[in-house]
Amino acid sequence: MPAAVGEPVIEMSGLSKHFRLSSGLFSSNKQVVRAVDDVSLTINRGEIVGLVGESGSGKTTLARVILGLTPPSASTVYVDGIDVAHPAAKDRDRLHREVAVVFQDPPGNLNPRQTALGSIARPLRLHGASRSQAYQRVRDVMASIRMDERYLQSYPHQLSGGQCQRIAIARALALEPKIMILDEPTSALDISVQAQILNLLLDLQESLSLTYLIITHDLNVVRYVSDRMAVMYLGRLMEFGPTRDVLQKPRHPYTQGLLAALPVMNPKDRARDKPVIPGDPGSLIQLPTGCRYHPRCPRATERCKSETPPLAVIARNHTAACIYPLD
Amino acid sequence: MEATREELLRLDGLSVDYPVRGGWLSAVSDLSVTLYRGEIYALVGESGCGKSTVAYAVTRLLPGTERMTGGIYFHGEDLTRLSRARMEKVRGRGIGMVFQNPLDSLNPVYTAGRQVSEAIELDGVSRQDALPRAVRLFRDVRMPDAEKRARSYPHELSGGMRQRVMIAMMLGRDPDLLIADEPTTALDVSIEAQILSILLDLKNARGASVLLITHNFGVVAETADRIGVMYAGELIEEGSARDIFNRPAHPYTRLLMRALPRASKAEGRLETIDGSVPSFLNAPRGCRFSNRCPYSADACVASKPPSRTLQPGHTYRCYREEAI
Ligand SMILES: Nc1ncnc2c1ncn2[C@@H]1O[C@H](COP(=O)(O)OP(=O)(O)OP(=O)(O)O)[C@@H](O)[C@H]1O
Ligand SMILES: Nc1ncnc2c1ncn2[C@@H]1O[C@H](COP(=O)(O)OP(=O)(O)OP(=O)(O)O)[C@@H](O)[C@H]1O
Ligand code: SF4
Ligand SMILES: [Mg+2]
Ligand SMILES: [Mg+2]
Repeated sequence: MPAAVGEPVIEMSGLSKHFRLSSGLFSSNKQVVRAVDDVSLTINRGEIVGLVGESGSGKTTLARVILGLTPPSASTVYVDGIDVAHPAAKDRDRLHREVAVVFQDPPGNLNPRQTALGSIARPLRLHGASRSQAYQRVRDVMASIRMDERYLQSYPHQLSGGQCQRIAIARALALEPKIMILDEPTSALDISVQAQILNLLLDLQESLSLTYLIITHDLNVVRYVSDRMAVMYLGRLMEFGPTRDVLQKPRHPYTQGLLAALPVMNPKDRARDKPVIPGDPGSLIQLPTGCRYHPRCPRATERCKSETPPLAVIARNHTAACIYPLD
Repeated sequence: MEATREELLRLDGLSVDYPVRGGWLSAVSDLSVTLYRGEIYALVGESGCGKSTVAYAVTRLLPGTERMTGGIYFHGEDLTRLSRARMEKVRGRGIGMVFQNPLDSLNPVYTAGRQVSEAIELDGVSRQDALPRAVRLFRDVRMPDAEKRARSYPHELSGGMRQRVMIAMMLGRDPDLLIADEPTTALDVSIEAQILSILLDLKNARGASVLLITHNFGVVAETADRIGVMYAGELIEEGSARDIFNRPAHPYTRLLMRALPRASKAEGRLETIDGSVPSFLNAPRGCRFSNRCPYSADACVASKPPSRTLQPGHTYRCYREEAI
């Protein structure tokens, strides 16, 4: 049974995904990358969750596990009650129909040997649409993203970065999914086309109660579209709460550091010394002990080196993993 | 000041057309831009307006099916006339490029470290010295576990790590001109700020110039000295960063600035620009924005607006100054 609006639709608890790292042919010490480490997260039907965090902190990996593209190392992800790593045959079909994805790398989304039309229509045909039904749907979805139909005949290498990204979005929308996982979906779009895509996503959320997980580094996008936002650092969720609260009153020092590094929006506001998060980018291979942000955290004490703070409730609907959260 | 600026790159009436069904698509049209030594020039504009095409034209990496006219002068030498071999020498050392799609541009079967060290070896550095230098470059671009990551293959890296490999590769050649096409889209704002400060250092300490192609207005606001705004293959406005942000003249630039998400959906939907770019098979006569422009008049459709100067260094192409 599909979950009702406001009921959990994506659920995971203690989820981990570790990779072995290539370390040269003759090396015997196998290094492990803890890309996703003990993540618990629930996304409800009809809400938009924004996921932000350090580059390399495991966001794309988390998305791939949710999509069932790579098996978790520990625990399970449930989408609409289905274990995505081991779905029954009929459930697998349902997941393919109901969960759509836009991958991070725009041309990587598309088959280089297929025209845009082929890329968008193929999944429709696989799900049983006739040729003419599929074509009609492709035209409708191109109209909804306001992209001229002439691009349908183009191959990916004949399209600009942003045009590829819009075709990937069109393909995801064409299936009329219930859940969308969007990894940097507007990173190659100018802000006017971006605005139009974001508005469309919001319209669909309102009219059809779609659920979105949007991964992005663009905090303006998160602020605009998401209801709740999660912040990831070195494979872990550091903070999760209503978007407005997290942005206006971050509780975790990493979130605070990230917000301080936001670029100015007018050249007249340029500062001589841009505040950036101090220290070296964190290692997922040799994780710091205790709180994994401690080597870079301005609030860290001895306790932070040995105790690992769990994600704990700090305020209404708002959690943070910190021993000394900001207030 | 104007007089002492030393020219590094000059595009003189550059046009690029691609063959498409039914004719030629005018991707870049009569573009004239000058980059001076020691400046960061941001090229912004609508997705598909021809920015990457400009980058490929300058590095002579266009697919080969195109039709190109106009001059591209680098250090005074017309690159369009160089032999392939001479151009190989200019690329990398003279002009370094960070491509928009790292996954397409990195070799999937070579480790990240090897790709960077091979680039350095082109400049006569021995293989022995090149690898440690690649690792140092990885540290400079804030790659975590630099040494171990040098042994990773592109598919084992995150999107932002791949971008950092591309940047390291370009930095390793120490070019006079850096062309960076959306170099930080996969980086969080803290690492992004650190990469931008590397670009600023190169400009300030080495007098290098950067042609920065980006949709990110934060990145532009942090770094650009001058900005060129493109629409449908044409340069429609150019000026200092402060002028473009605070006194945009062209209707497209003005509407673009307004689409930036500054609030949440609770405060209402974002403004967008109505309509879409029409097909430019066999170049149209008038202003290419006229079908979407709220100020469009008869003159706009009849012929291409001439370049007007708002104040020294700030130019735009539009007929309807009075109406705006
Ligand atoms: N197939 C793989 N093999 C080994 N390591 C991997 C693999 N895929 C991802 N990783 C590692 O997992 C970590 C998390 O990567 P991921 O792509 O999930 O990060 P991300 O948060 O999406 O980063 P970005 O913002 O840069 O896209 C990185 O250290 C990456 O190198
Ligand atoms: N090989 C090609 N054949 C035909 N058309 C092409 C080819 N390459 C690019 N184009 C078209 O040329 C135009 C300019 O593309 P370009 O990649 O330069 O845009 P861009 O400004 O970089 O866009 P984005 O911001 O989306 O990356 C686009 O309309 C694109 O569809
Ligand atoms: S637990 Fe300690 S080190 Fe970690 S974020 Fe909080 S104060 Fe900083
Ligand atoms: Mg990613
Ligand atoms: Mg481009």
